[in-house]
Amino acid sequence: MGRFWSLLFLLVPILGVAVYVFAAIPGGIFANHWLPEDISQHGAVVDKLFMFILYLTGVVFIVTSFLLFWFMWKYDTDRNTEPVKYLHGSHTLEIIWSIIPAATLLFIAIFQMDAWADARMKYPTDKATGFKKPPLLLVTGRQFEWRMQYAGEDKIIGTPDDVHLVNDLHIPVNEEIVIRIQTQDVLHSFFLPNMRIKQDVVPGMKQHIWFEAKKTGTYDIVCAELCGWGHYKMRGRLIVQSEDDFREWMASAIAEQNKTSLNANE
Amino acid sequence: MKQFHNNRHQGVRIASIAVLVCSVLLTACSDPAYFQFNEAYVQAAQLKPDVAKPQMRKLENRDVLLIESQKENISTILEGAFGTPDNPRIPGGVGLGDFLSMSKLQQAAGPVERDEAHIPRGLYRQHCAHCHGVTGDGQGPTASFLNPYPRDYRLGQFKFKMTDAGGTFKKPSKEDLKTTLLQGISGTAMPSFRVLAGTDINQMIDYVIYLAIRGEVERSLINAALEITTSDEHPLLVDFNNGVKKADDLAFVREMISSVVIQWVGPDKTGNAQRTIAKAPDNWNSPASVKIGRTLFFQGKANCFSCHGQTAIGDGQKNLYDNWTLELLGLDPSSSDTSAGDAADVEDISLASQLYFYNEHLAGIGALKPRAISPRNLRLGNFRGGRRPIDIYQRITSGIQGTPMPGNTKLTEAETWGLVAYVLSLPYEASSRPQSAPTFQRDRN
Repeated sequence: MGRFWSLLFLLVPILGVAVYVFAAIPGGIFANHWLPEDISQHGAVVDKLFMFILYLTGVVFIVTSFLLFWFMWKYDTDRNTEPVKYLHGSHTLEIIWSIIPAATLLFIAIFQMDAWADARMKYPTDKATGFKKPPLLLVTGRQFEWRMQYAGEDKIIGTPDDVHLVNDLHIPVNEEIVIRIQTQDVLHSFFLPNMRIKQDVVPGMKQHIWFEAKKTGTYDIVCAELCGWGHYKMRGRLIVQSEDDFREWMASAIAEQNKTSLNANE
Repeated sequence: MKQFHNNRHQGVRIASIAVLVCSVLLTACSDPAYFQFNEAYVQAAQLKPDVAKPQMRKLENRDVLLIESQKENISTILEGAFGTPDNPRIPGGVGLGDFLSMSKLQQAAGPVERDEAHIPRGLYRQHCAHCHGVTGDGQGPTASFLNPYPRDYRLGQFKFKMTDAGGTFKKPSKEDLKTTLLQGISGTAMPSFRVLAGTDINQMIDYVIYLAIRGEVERSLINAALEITTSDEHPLLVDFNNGVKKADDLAFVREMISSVVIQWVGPDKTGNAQRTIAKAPDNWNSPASVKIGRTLFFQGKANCFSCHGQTAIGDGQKNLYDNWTLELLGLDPSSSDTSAGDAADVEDISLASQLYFYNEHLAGIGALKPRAISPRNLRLGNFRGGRRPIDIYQRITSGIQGTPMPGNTKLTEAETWGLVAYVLSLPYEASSRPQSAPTFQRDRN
């Protein structure tokens, strides 16, 4: 066997890097397994941070994996007959490999601060009025569905004119949207992959998310926190529409919800 | 050192053999799926009705028992007519040809896979079977964790539909089942399947109807088998081994299937039509109308409060059972089939003695433990059959099949719409608001 195991371990960095390279080739066999299409206004910042951290950890991954291989290769039992030597360790080395990662983490923490503040702290204000923007709708996670409750014409959630839907989220394009999210039972995570939005929904917590879509189309809503046996079926549909289409859809949803006749001639 | 190396090689060999054996076992384990025989119904149907109280079946009256060969015969007949879960069949000559599509059934049936054109197959087993069971018996692996239990299609009764009118229940239309699949049933474990393609939804609808018809035919066959004796003219149901397949047997079975099918397909063979609901008066949700509804809620004419409770939180009468559960308790839901509400009228049942029947005959064969049905809490804003005014109107006027919720045909249009308005306003009304209507005025008529 001898150096067989060290060569086997060398496959880890080689295959690992190969998977990333394959996935990054546009139009390749893994093309759709990399980041999903970004349709959000803020997504570029998130993707940039993601790629930055990926490159950083990628380099560390290659170096450490190669070192693991190298030590196994060099100190293979069949080729080393010298007895094992006791080594206390190196104080200087330990300080170096503690300070470098600490400094890197601190750098990342500061570097991403703006992105975090934009996504979680700077609640959008209505440009016309200067007040906080009211949520367009309330999304309630429930085993195993997403329930949408649009504020309706009075723009207040929890009134009789609210529009109720299940797994069906319609939003207008090119407009900053605020959504209030909550859960009815257990932990869920409201995930809009194409919108680069992922927020855990915690029982008892009232949370808000905001984003702006820049492209119309139909996209996925998924649950990103294992919430029970039906977690996989907690899928919904995000439909980004032009403002006119959205108003038209909203009017039809209101009409459908207020339907007071069936198959009858008006 | 040499010894150590040998051991290591042996370990690798053992590991690879283990992997090989496991994969062979896994492939060998995939038996073809089969429809479960409705043993629970056999147990229930073997009980004879009590003469004094026809809706109750007496436990001591077990004199006719179905023999094994009769059960086999029933399974054989069903397989001949309906096929297997992997190869469904539409029975011919019973008027189902225009109603169910063979290609849709085939897409929905079978194991979960994709065909050459990458079109999904086995939709029922992928999306429905883990709760509703391969047989549609509502006893899938996840069923026992749920409250309410998943629907058992075999009784052929469905709750939320727009086909019922004028106090009679009808089978749902395909449109009704589609609404349920798209919206889910809020407040229950039934999810919305809105993200699936429309064709997938239509395939599952056909398959659910197919399972419901099959289940109901199975029940009829069991009933017929219990009623005949060896000298009867239908040996097919008596003894498969020495019975010669006669033409009249086939006609007999076909007639049995037809009588179930006709309820689904209606006179024009394309399915029941949804009812008509005339447009509500313009002021149907005015405060005055809500007030009318509120008064009715607490009066004998509508009598909502007796089940839904003084504050409409569903704490009125909590010891009632739906038709699926009545059967598990050894009671006969069919005696109250046409007049909803009477199903509830089993107040003098001692639950302990009826649970005895379940424990003795049904628990061992995997039937789900009976549970009382709770009246809906109307203040949650969860309306299972939908929250549109016409949905509430339909529940009030036509009731909910299989449950103690009765259809009320005595109310005028204005009164019904008043109740609709009041029920829809309940989630927004403070429950601590004192009731002005007379309380405890329980005049039952």
